[in-house]
Amino acid sequence: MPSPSSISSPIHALTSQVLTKIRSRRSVLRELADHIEDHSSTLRERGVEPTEARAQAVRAFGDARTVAAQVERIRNQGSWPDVAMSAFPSLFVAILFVSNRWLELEWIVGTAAVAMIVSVLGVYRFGRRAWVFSWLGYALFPILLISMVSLGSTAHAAWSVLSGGYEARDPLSWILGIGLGVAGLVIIVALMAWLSRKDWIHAMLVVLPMALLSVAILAFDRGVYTTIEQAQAQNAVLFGAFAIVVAAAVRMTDRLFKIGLLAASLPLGFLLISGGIDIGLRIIVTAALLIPALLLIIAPYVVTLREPDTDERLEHSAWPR
Amino acid sequence: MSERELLKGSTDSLFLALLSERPMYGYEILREVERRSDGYFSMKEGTLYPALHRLERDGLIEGLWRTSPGGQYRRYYAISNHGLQRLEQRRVEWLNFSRAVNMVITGSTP
Repeated sequence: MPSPSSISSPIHALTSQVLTKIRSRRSVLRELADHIEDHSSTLRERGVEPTEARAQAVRAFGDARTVAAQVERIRNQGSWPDVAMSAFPSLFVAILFVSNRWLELEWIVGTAAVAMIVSVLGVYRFGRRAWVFSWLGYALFPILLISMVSLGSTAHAAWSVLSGGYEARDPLSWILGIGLGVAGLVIIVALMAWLSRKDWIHAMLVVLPMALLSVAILAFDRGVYTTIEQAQAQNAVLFGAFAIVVAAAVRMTDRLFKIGLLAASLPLGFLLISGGIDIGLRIIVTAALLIPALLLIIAPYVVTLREPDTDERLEHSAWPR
Repeated sequence: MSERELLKGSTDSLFLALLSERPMYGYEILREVERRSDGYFSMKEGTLYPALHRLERDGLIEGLWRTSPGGQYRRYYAISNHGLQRLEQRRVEWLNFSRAVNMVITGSTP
C-alpha cells in the first residue's frame, strides 16, 4: 500500500502506467511461455528426453519474440473502423457547432439519445471496444449536466435562505434538486471508478468529452465569446481537434503515448478557446481541466491487478533464451 | 489455392467453433484443431496467438486467466455473444460455399 503522501505525486501515476504496460507485456510473454511448457510437457509424457522436448517445443512454436510483438500491437492498436467510430461523435459535435444547430434542443436531445443507444448497443454487440467509450462520454453528459444544474440551483436556493433572502421553494423541489444532483454524480463516479479499474484509456475517453463540453458551456455562460459566430468557430475547432486526438490515441500502439496524448488534449483545448478570458475564469476552468489529471493520480489506488505473480512464473517458465 | 491459404481464411471460424463448445486455452485449442481434423490442420504454433488476440480485440472472444483442471494457471478464451453471431453467419456462408463447390467439382446435385 503506497503512503498517503505519494497520492499527490503525478510521478507515481505515471509509474503505475509504466507498470501496467510492463505487466501487459509480461502477461503476453507468460501466455506464450505456458504454451511452450505445455507442449514440452506433452512430449516428455511421450518419452522424449526433457532437454530435447523443450528444444522441439521451442522449434514448433517459431520466433516467440516476434509473436509477442505482434500480439502486443494487436492488443493496443485499434483497427481503422475503431478509429473512425471513435472520432465520429466528436466530429458530429463539431458539425453541430459549424451548422449552428448547437443551441437547438431537438438536436442536443437527439444527439445525446443516439449516443446513448449506440453506446448500449456497442457494449452489447462488441464488448469493451475503445470506440464505445468515446460515444459513452457524450451519452453521459446530459446526466452530468442535470446533476450539476440540480445541485447548483439547490445550492443557490440554500445560500439565499441562509443569507436571509427569500426562496420560494416547496419541500419537493429541495428533495428533487438534491436527489437528482446526488444520483447523477453517484452514477458517473461509480462508472468512472469501475472503468478506471478496467482500463484508464477507456475511462479517459469517457471523461474528456464531458470535460470539454463542460468547458464549452461554462465559457459560453460566462460570456467569454464576443459573438455567437466566435463561439461556433472556436468550439467547432475544439471538437474537430479532439476528434483527431481520439483517432490518433486509438490507433497508437503504445499505452503511455495514448495516455499522454489524451491527458494533454484538455489543456490544449483550453488554450485553443481561452483568448480574451479573464483571470478568475481561467482559474476555474484550469481547476476543471485538472479533473482528468486527478483521476489519473487516484486511479492506481483503486486499481487491483488480478494477474498472478508474473515475475515468479517467468523465472521458472520454459521461455526460450 | 494452397492448403496453407485455405487454412488462413478459415482459422477464425475453426477457433470460434471450438470455443462455442467450452472455454479453452491456447495449447488446448491447437491440439483440439489437430485432433478433430485428424492432423490435417497443423499450423506453426506461434501464429495461433496473434489470431486469438485479434479475435479478442474484435470482441468475438474473451480472454481470462484461470486455473485449469490440472491446477495450472492458463489464459482461457471463451466465445462472446457477438462471436456466436459471427460463427452462425460463417456456418451459413461455409455451408453454401462448400455445397456450391461440391456441385461444380463433383457434378453432384443438391
